[in-house]
Amino acid sequence: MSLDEVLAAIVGSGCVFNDPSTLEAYSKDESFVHAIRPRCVVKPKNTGEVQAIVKWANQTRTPLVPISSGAHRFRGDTVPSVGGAIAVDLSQMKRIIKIDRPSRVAMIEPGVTFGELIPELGKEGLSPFMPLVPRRSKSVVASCLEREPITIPRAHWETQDPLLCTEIIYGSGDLFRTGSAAGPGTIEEQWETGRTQVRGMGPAQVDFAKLIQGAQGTMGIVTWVTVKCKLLPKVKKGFFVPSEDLDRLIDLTYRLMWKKVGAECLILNGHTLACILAKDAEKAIALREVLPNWALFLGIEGAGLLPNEKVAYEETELKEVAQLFGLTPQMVIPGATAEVVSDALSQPSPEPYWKLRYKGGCQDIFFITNLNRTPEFINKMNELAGRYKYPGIDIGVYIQPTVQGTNCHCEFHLSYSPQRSIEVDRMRNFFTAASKALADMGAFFSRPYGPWAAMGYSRAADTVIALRKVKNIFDPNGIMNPGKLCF
Amino acid sequence: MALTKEAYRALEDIVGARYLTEEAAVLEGYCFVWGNEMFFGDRFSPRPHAVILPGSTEEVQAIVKLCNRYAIEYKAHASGFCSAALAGPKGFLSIELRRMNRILEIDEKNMFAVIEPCVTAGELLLEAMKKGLRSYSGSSPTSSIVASATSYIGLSSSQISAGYGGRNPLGVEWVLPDGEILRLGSLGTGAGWFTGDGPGPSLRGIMRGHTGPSGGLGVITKAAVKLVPWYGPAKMETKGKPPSYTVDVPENFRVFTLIFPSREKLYEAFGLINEEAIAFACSRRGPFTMVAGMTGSNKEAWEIWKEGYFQKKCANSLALIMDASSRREMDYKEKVLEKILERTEGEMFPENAHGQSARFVHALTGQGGVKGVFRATGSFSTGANADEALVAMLKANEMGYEVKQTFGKRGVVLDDDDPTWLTATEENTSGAHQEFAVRYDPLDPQSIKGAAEIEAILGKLWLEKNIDIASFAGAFGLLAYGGKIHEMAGPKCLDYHIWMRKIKNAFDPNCVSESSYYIKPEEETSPQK
Amino acid sequence: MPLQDFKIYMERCSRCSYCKWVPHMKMTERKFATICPSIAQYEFHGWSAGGRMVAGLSLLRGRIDYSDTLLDMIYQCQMDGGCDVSCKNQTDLEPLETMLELRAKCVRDGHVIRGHMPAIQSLRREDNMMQSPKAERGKWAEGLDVKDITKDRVQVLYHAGCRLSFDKELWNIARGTVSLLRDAGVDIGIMGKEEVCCGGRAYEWGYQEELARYAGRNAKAWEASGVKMVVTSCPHCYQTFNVLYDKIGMRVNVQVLHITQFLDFLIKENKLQLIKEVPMEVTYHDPCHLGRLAEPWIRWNGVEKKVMGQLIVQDPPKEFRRGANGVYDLPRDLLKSIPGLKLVEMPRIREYAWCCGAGGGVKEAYPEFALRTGLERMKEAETTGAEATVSACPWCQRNLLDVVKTMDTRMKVYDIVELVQQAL
Repeated sequence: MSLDEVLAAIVGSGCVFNDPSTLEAYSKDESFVHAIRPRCVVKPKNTGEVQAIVKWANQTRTPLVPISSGAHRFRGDTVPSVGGAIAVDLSQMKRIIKIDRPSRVAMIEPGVTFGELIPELGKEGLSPFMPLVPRRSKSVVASCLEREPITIPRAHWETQDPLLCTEIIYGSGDLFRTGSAAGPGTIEEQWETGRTQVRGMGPAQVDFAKLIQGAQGTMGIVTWVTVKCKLLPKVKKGFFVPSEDLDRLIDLTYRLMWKKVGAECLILNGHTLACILAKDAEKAIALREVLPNWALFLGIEGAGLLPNEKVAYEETELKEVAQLFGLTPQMVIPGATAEVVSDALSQPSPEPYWKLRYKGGCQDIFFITNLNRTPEFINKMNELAGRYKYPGIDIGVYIQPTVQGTNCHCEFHLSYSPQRSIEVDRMRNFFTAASKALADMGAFFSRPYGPWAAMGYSRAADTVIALRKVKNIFDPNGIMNPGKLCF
Repeated sequence: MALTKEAYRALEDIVGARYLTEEAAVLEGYCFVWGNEMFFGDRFSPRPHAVILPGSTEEVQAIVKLCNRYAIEYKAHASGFCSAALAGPKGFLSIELRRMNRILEIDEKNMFAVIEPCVTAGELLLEAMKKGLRSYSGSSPTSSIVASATSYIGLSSSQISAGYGGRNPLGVEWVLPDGEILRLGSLGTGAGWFTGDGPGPSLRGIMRGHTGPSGGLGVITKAAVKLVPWYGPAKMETKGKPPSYTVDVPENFRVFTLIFPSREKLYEAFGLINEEAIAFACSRRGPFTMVAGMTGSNKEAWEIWKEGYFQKKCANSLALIMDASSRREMDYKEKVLEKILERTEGEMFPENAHGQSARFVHALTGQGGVKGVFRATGSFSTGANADEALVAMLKANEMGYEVKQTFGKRGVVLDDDDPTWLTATEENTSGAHQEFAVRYDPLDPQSIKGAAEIEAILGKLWLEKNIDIASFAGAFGLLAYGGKIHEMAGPKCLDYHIWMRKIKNAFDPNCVSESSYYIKPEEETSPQK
Repeated sequence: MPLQDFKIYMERCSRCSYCKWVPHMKMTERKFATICPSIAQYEFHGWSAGGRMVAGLSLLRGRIDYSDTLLDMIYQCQMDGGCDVSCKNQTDLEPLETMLELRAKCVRDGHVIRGHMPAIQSLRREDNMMQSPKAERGKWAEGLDVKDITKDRVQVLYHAGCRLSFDKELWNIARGTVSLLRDAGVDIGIMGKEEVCCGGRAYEWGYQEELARYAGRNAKAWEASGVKMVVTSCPHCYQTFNVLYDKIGMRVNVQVLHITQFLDFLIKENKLQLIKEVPMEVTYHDPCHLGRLAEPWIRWNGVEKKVMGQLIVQDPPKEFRRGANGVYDLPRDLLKSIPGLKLVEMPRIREYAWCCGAGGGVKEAYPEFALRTGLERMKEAETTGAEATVSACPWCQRNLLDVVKTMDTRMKVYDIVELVQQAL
């Protein structure tokens, strides 16, 4: 049997793709990762098919590259690093398997996007924890597995949130469920007992989910996850706290974290805010002109028994705290209303994706640090921008307190025109040099995509040794997305 | 088998003669602890070969490497307040970390502390409070924060607001079973202590799961742990005399005992309190636990118990503590509470200042746990844990309560009428942890046997009825010892134990990290396909 | 009670380690959060109350035999009772009583500490623990012209105790006390060379029979003299007369007061007026034997029984001595009544005070350990900013004075009477 026939026997002939244009599309993404065409693309429809593919791949030592989100993809993690790989596109696995209102949890397959999940959750009075305005095609499962930060730091108890349990076909071909979903009993039996797969830790003395998260598909293929959700707000208000002085906003953010006030809490610079709000580049430039250099956005939600009272008290708290720092929360600032931003933060991005609107291409540099260190990194970026002829004004900045303010995600958006080779070359150089310079300063690239892997792992030899042991356990034949991370 | 002279001398070279002993009289203190009687029929477990007290990571590493070279089993502990920390089926080198007790840093702004393993919960709290912060309390103020965060369970009374211990570690320094040092997260790249995850997959997943490896996977030598806001004073003023010290509940706190007409209503209220995010601490405590906590002696507790008032009034009660950073916030929370009580037909149980103080202190520091569970009979067991959605926990409570009552009525264990302890994991995180505290007399073989039987019955029941057990296996309870739980639960939980064993084998190639409360390093088999 | 009778407590120790720490609700400073000098110095668990409970049990069960290490473990401890307070704040156990019985067993079994023998032999030969001839016992009072109760009838006997009788550097305290009391109109006398040891320190070291012997001798002498009251500067003697004699069923029918109690009485009766300014900031060190160990003995002859299936209660009900009722306030009141003097408190005070280091036979057998313990106390005292540490115990005084000599400090050490004298 030919390869196509073997795979067709598993997933059905309509779900195996090897036409040049499809293969071309899966050979690259928006990143600078070297393009390699997969041998074919398969689109399994269920866990059984995924497991059959992985078992077959083990027998034939065929590399597999799992993909959940649709284009445009940005990180290079779904681009094969080796020839002869099969791209396992999970976008057809779109079931929202269960939503449990009392437990505020949803069980979903990898193909489910935010746009698809939000209305279904809404029917149950729930809403998801969102990353910053994800693209329409972004898989919720992938977002969780990639440890994309959510915009509500208060609910971000640790890096794993909001991911709870997972079902995975390990690289070995074994099916496993992490957290309390492991058992006892099948998932159906667990439901019958009233369990809702809400405990992400374990089972027992290993946190299996943590070994899958951040793995860029190198450990196995996740076929569903449960995610922690929140109550759908009944009343919502948003506030900007604009300032020309980032340090002051940082101080305010610390205070808000300490007081546990508000829901969404993030800092954006004018350029990023303009890109999120404007429909095209021209409007973004105009908007950027009037927007403040920096703005903290604080969303306040009333979702429970006394929604209006909740919003009222948190609003007053915010105003009082801001005043301590000589800052004034505003619902409207020149060029933007908080209401619009608040809505934007609770939905995926309209097309085209906000990061691509400005120049058609975008590279992100993001890492974990402490909030008080972000100005140093911003200064460094500005300094390097000049050196690499990148307009400083076009550096977008997104600062997201995470883990309840214990650390923060710092992200730079660098827009460029992919059609202009000179810009591409400059961007590549700028991206590489800036990543290295920031890492040298202590930026921690916890999600080591593309070139960041070599950069990060060269600084952490002990981590590499340990990770290779883990890899060897769950993917002994090394078929899962080889060439990524340190494998 | 005792250590060879050569090995002993080599260990002595590492720490100096003062910090190493194989004197029988001293070793006795390292094989005697509550709970041992459940496993060994005696409070004494087999004696360790020697006890060593390293003072630094370098010393720990040297000891562990030496253990690998000489094939000496070892297990490290901090306060040594549970069987898992000290006991094993045969002797090993017991590494006590009490000399490693520095608070290296408290980062006030970023709300974390970098500490060594023997910093106790009480000590860290003292220092953190000065900066408007607090740590989660652990099970008692003498317990090690690092141990509960990385190696054991990690439960605390105020975890709804302070976080489950196991989810709190950030950067971690870890001497692996083979003696190599692994620095987790940002620490590994030299970036600092602020996160323990990455680059790539988080090796925190190997370090621990729902529970930790209980000494079966090397030695944690330093860790950064999250701190959370503290809205009380920098120092608590205590009044009164022992054993009835009290504190004035600080202005920004409220302490309530809430009572409900039925278990169903109680669980509903519990769910709502969590959902509304109004709690500093919220847990269900049985009436006897309440009485034990508020009294200075068994005699006093018995006098109150005889009146029957608490059993009648507080059979379905929740201890709720609320904190707020402002009056405004407290007003809001109080209104929400009113609504919850209205909806669940709950009432506030009038409690005197002493009772309120006891509940508050317990939530803040874990103090009172010893009084609550040990004083009555001398020991307790709590193996029958479960941690999942509230509906399932209510079912587990009904089943478990019936079993426990049967033994209680027979007088084999304390007939205390206490249902499960129930506590939320974290605000915004649904479900709950619950466990049955079974108080038994460690001097009475029949009582020990009774407690063991309860654990065995409940363990089996939890598996049969698909309640949950795997998530909590490991540190406590009869079934945890010797990997029994894994052999029982593994096959019903997708053979997780086989994966665990692979991890054990990969990270502990010489099988020297004592693992009777983790998993035995036996021959690998394949998991269910 | 033989050690065997304490088995129930030993077996019920959960190893919670509360005995190593100040009761947690009383912790104010991390630096001063521990209560047990022994574990602080020797590190291994055996050097804590919990560890000794295990050792005792182990010995009884024949799991271990006597060894030098075991004896060190048992005796490198001031028996200050801090552990007992912390433990019993949460439990119904008896760690200190168990440790006392463990020591008694050691002595009965012939396993004694070499470093203790000179003092014990001195006691047996010379009736004092100070290795001095009994004939010299009354020398401290030479020239004072104080009544001798073996010859004269007086209302109040001043019992100087072994330390003050033979420690020349401290004679001024005893002499000052006598003068002060006499000036206040107290009909006071001493026993001079006829005074004998209270027996308490020997009891604490495990020599239980000595206590009964000296209880009998003291009782006889006091009764024969017709004194109505005994006043002592020594908390060890105070605790022995009031607590230990009662414990062994030999309570004496004479009121025994510590000097601080008596001075308080005299001030309240206006017989003593503190009028002179003593412009000084001081901190007060609670002597263990005046504080937590001085709680009256509570006799209980009952049995344990179980209710509710397994709840252990005592029949008849037992009141536990938990350290609440020591002499804590009077010395402080006395200091506060001195014009110009300001009292500042250390982090560890009252029932959770850190020991001076001298007790339990440590000063005699392990002098370095005694000094280290005292050094920690003095460093704690220094953190208050006070100019002086005041105690009300000659044994504390001795050890703290020895410590100060090793320190680079301006801090002084006073007995409370020395400050009262300055205020007269």
